[in-house]
Amino acid sequence: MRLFIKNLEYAKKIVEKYNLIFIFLFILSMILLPFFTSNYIIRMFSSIFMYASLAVGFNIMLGYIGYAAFGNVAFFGLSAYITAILLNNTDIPFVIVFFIAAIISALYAILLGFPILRLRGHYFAIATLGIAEGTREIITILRITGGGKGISLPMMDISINNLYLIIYYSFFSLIIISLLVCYYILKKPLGYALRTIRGDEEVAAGLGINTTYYKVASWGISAFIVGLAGAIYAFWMGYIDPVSAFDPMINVKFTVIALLGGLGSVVGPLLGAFLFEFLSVVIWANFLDIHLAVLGIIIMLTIIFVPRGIMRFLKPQKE
Amino acid sequence: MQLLVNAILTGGLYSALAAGFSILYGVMNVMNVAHGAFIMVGAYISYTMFTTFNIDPFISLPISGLGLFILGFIFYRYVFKRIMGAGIFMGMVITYGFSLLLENIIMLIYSSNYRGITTAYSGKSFSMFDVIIPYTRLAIFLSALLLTVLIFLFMKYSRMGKSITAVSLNKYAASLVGIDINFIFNITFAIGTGLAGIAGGLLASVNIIYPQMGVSVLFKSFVVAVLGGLGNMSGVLIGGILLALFEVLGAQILGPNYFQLIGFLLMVLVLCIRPQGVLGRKFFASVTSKEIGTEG
Repeated sequence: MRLFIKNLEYAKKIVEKYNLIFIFLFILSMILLPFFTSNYIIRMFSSIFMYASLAVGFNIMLGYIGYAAFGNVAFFGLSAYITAILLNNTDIPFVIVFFIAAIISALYAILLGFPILRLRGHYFAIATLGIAEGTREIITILRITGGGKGISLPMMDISINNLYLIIYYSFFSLIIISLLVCYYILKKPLGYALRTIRGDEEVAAGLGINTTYYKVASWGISAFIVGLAGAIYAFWMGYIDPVSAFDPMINVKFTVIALLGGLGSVVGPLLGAFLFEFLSVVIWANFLDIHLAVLGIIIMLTIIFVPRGIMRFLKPQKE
Repeated sequence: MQLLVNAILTGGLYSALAAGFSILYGVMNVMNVAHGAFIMVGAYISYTMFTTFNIDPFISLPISGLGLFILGFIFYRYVFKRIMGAGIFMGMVITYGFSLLLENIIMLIYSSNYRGITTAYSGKSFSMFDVIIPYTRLAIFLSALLLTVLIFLFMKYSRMGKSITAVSLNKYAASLVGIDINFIFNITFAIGTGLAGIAGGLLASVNIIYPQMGVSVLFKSFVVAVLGGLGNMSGVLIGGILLALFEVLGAQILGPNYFQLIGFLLMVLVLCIRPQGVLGRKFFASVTSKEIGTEG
């Protein structure tokens, strides 16, 4: 805990001093990237940013307050479906639809949060998994969602290159916004409250922190970020069905990315996403038959050898 | 009446699925997400025994159990031991990684086709008081019952079982009286996976099997373990029968679409209202790793 705060202080110092230039260069190069590369690279970076923002959403829950929200894919899928339904049935511009879908996901999370967030540890983890599966089942049963055969989104009247550009910049602004939100959360009293809850919830309650309120609020924020990612994903894919929108692999990927990047850090998820996605591409290209096995081995090695994530190596250790 | 009997027979299978999961949670406070994959491997062992050596799935149960016992022993010894005590979520993620590995290996060996075991007596049944009872289902139920009784006797009367109970109650006190905790954990993990292997053998005799079946099986065992009370080993039988009962009734009243949903809703509901399980006592639920940690 003390080490964490010290690291945080250090990270702040770095950002305030010379890393500002580095961050600026990174953002600039990412903005200019689509003008120099092929659509394949743009797609890859879009997917990196998507998983990074999902990992940020997960990190807010597990990294900051210590609640393993393994079922966050529920909000991803829900938001994707709301986007699909709204775009099919109304004339609302797609950017606004994204936000409506994300807000509905956040409300869903808040509604569920009041009963679910009273649970701790494994109980919470299992309950969120149950919610993810239950939400998928409800979506499959409902008629408006097209059931098991999925739902198509209306085609935009623009060229494929422009569509990719829109997707790329949407995901890019999403990850920038969510990183800013995280940075803001950690600096503000909310962040201190959350970390106190992670340290010891009884103590936090004893100090007069309204733990339920803070937990539900951060789950709402987490679901909002995840929901935005889901909405953009639906728009990107053009077709969603319950199996792909609630794919447990999405869950696994962002969990591993968050762990790989380092729980509780701000930019960890982004770095983790870059590393993981490059590894996945390499694995896909070279070992198609056994890519699942290689992925499993990478997960196990990550847990055993870098359980605190790669962010730990980027900061000098002060004992 | 027919529904009730069906539910009880299916409940036996469900409880067999969840037994290994629950024992691991109860003793080691570990959520073994690879449980579904272990069951899948057990089912494939049973399948191989039947197709190549023509051994009846019920007779090959000990073989599946033993095979998975060894697999679990090795996995704990060389991989899982390193992260014991590193936080509960690490355990979940690492077992997930292992389940991906197992799934891929099975897929490479057997391809991802659907397979099943058809014995001479499968599909046959007898009727008693106007209730049709298939032989296979009855045999599964009896095996599950026998398994539960065996676990109970093992825990209650054998030296090893007593040590396991002691470790599950209080690690530090157990180590003070000279129990090798690490070895007990290793054995418990192996027993948990061995039970998964037996459950896999049982499952293979009624259901189709395929490499990706682990996930759905895992969720079934989640629900059953929660209903019976997480970590409460005698609760799984009750949990299994309850789940089967609710599923059958729900499907009858609401329609077959809702079959899967009922389990999850039930689980979330039980978690919110009675985390210690439907009939469980508060005791097992309250012993978390944190509380043990503060005692030591």
